[in-house]
Amino acid sequence: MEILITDDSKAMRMIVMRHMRQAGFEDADFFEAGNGIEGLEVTESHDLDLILSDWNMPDMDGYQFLIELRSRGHEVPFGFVTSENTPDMLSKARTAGAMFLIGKPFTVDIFRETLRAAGVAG
Amino acid sequence: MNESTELERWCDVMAEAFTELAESSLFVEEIDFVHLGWLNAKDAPGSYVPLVGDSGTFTFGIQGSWDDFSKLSRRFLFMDEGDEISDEEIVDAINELCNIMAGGVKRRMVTHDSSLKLGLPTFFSGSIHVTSDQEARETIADFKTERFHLVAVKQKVK
Repeated sequence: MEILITDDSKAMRMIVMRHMRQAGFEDADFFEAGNGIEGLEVTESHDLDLILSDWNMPDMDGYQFLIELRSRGHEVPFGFVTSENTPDMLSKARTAGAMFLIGKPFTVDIFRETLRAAGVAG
Repeated sequence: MNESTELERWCDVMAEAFTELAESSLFVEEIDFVHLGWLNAKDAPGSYVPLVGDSGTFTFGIQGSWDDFSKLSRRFLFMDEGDEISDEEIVDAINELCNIMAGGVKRRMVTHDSSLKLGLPTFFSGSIHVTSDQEARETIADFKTERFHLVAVKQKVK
């Protein structure tokens, strides 16, 4: 399984990866990107199974990243991991094609339950 | 509600958001908060995130000593006390913690102001000079082993 983690914080990318491994995705191959532009480059060069993305990032934010992905025809499952955890943002994320939104701060259980509910298997 | 009382409400929410963050991501079980009616933190490193909406223009920040920030970053990154950590890793970790705290403020206050928008964090070392157009409050968060200054600045409504 190939998973892309997009976040402008290297610390957060490491923490998300750690939580994903503990949530049952220990055998996955993880790729990292610091914003949506880098995320698009990784998407074009790999056959990804899942993208986890922050919302607020410089240059291209997570929302623009998702819109651009879908406009290019990429239907890879996409979820936000963000401190933008309000009902409005969840609604906006779902309308744009996101499967789920995990709010920061999070726990391993939240990752496990959210991914199971979204039908993403490790 | 006058502006002072209004800012104190936002400060209480900031402390709630910081508590949630400390318990879930920093594994801290006990925090003592001291709410100051003024801004006391000076000449210290800190991270700051803007939160802007119809109810006002706010900045929320975490100030602390470099030593306390390095301890906090190690907790956040699951590192042991003796593990090497670079300045860049500390800045990145503190920026992310401040971002999560400000996001927690937004989530709690969005029913009060649905227009709130969160900005990106900025890290700098120095003191905050509050102008006559601004009002500020500070809450000290004491972990026993480390202490931090949680700062809220609001642009006054003219």
